[in-house]
Amino acid sequence: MLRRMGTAAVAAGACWAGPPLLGSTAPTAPVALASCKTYNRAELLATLNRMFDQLGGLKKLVNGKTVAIKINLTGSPTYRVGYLPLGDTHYTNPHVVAAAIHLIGKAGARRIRVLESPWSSAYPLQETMYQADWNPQEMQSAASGVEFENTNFLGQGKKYYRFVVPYGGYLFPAYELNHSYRDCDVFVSIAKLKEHATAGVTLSMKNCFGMTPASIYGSGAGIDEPNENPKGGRYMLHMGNREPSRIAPPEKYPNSPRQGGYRVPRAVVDLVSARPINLQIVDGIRSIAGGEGPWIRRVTPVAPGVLIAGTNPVATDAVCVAVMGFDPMSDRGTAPFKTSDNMLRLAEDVGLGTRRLDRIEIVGRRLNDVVFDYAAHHHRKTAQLRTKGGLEVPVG
Amino acid sequence: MRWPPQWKNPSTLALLKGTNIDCLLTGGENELQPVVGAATRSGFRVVRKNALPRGITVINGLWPGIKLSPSHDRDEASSGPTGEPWVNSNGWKVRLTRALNPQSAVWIDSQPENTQPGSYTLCFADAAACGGRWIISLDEQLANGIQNGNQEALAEWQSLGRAANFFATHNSWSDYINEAVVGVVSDFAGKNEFLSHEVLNLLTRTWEQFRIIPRSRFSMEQLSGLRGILYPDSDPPSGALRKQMLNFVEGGGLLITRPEWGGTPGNPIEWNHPRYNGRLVGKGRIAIAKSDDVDPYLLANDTVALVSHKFDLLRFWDAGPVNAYLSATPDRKRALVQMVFYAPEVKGRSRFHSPGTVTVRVVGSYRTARLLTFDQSSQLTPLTQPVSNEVGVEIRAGAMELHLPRLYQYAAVELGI
Repeated sequence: MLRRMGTAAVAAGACWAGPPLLGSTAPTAPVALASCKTYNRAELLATLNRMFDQLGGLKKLVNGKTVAIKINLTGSPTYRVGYLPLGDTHYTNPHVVAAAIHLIGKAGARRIRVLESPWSSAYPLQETMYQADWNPQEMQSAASGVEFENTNFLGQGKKYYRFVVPYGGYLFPAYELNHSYRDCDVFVSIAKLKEHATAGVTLSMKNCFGMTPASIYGSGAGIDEPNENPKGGRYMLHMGNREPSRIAPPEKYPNSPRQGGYRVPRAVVDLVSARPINLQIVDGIRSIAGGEGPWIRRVTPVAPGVLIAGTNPVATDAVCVAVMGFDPMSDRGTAPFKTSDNMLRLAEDVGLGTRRLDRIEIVGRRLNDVVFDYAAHHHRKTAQLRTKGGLEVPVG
Repeated sequence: MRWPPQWKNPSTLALLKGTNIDCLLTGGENELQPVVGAATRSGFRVVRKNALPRGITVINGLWPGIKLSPSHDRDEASSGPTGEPWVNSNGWKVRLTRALNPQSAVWIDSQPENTQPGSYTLCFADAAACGGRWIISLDEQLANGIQNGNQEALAEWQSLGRAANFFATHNSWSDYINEAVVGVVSDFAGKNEFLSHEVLNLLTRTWEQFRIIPRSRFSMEQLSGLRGILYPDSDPPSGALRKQMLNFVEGGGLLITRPEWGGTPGNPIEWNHPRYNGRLVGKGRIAIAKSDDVDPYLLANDTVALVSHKFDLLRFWDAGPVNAYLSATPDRKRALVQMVFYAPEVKGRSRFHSPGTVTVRVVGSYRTARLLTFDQSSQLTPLTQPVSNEVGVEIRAGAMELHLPRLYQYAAVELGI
């Protein structure tokens, strides 16, 4: 069987053979691209509706089903980029989530669960939303049967569920997750179009890093049992400084590199493989360039004015990377993967999907028409950004 | 002000010129007699530490600020349970003492510790924002520095003087009413002291606006505007108090309490909370802790979440460690947001601050605003125009956002309808 070692593993002299290379046969799926300049409800609904139609329609995917939607609320809700609302910078925008919920509900979903593992919190997800100045009622009323769950701990479930990585796992053979990721028929990742200081990019796949409960994988996780008052970030997944709570299986390769750029992309691919994403929606209407959140010094607000959706996460994220002005075929050392392994490559290697643009059918807008050069916006000053009767961000 | 023992020469009284410091506290040292005599002749009130006049309650306090680790590295702080830096503050003690002794002035006695530039001003503001007064106490180095004309020491002294003047100018703020969403009802004493005191301390750190309601002074009027009551005491309330609290619940309020509260009125509700059982009583709810082993940190944070951030009166972004107090004139025509910032003033980036901006969201509809700091105050400005070059305003449904520059030690925003 053909095997190869990860770049970083080679550099670190680690003796570890990866999973089989299945890149050439990795599946593909169409990716819908659309321009969308604002978070206006009507514009969002019309645009997303058209995109879902271009992907073959939502009904066959969600009709009569329980749909779980993982959104992205990274970091504390008390951090902003300048004075800008969180949904206009590093959080998935709530209006995008509400519009998606509305269309999913309209397509016949029986139940829709909004999921996230918010920073250092075991309180209802809506509480984090309020702190971020969101109104969860907008999502609640967008369709019938909408529920929210904080997946940072046991939550409403009675036990954690083990998600086994089909190819054996890059980092862990399996992950223990909140019940909501199992108790659904369809899994949707609504992400933001962003770079990531550790993993290069954070899109529909990296969003799933946040599925891991901090009760087991967080800095304050219990050694033997999960800590149901989860605290802190997932440093152990980033740096491998300790093992998760014993309820979860330990690392496969304890001698592998203790680097975020090696570990985070592998954890992401493990997770996406163990809990497949059926629908990806990436919010690139407004975002930030230069990193994933305000704690990254060089981040700058940007307004690419684009939405991306697809049904294969690797293909979708590959198109997202191209929209951001980068090459999804880049390897470690080249932007956006300057200090990390390319998670798209790792995902392609295990047969999750293709990152080769020539194998991906792009529907809707042409790629060249919506490319927004993130790298060109890395060093603009954000400190004095101010809203004056509405959003004011440097555009293009 | 506690008179420094090394300021023996009456000429040192000149340092008080223009400072609004009018009361000198001494230990009765003989060598200070010349100063005491001169001070008395100049109209200063001189008080001996062991003979305080009536109407003053002195409480021991901590040196306010971010609790630093033993290395005293500026950017190395002890953490609270969330990983956020731990903050020492006397504000809740001042508020509690005022609630228990409404007729008494509250003086805080706290000694300088690991001082940094601005920390004397911060200490003054920490007490004064809650209506108390810090007994100004200079450490030996600063007292010597001031006496010897050291520029840095004089700058610290002048900054402290500006703070004292500021609060003297705005002494009417002490009479403003605390706006709150939660009332903490307790006797704050005996076996209830630790938990009730610690909850006040920790609630302050959440920015939840709360009202302190001593059991002995409980009245339904004090529940005005509240969404919830926290009754953390381990002994049940009297029949009358219990009835009044249940009236509040029946009207739609939330009561958070412990199993010792006794009795289970109403009907159980399905409430998948790890630490509370819920009961529906009239239009409201009671959250009864499942265990009598109550952790104050969890109790404070559970209270905020049970009441819900939906009803936050104040929200902050990028403020770093800040305690904030919302109050209003009795006619509610003017509101006041006081903010005490505990992060040390440093050039460039600090782990305690995001770069350069603070946003505060205040619930309510206001037409005018002004920002006040010890160094400058903007005019009361209609919100149809920018408050100042440094302050932006965004009106939102039922609330307003103030976009402020990076602030240190203290700032206040005065709002008018």
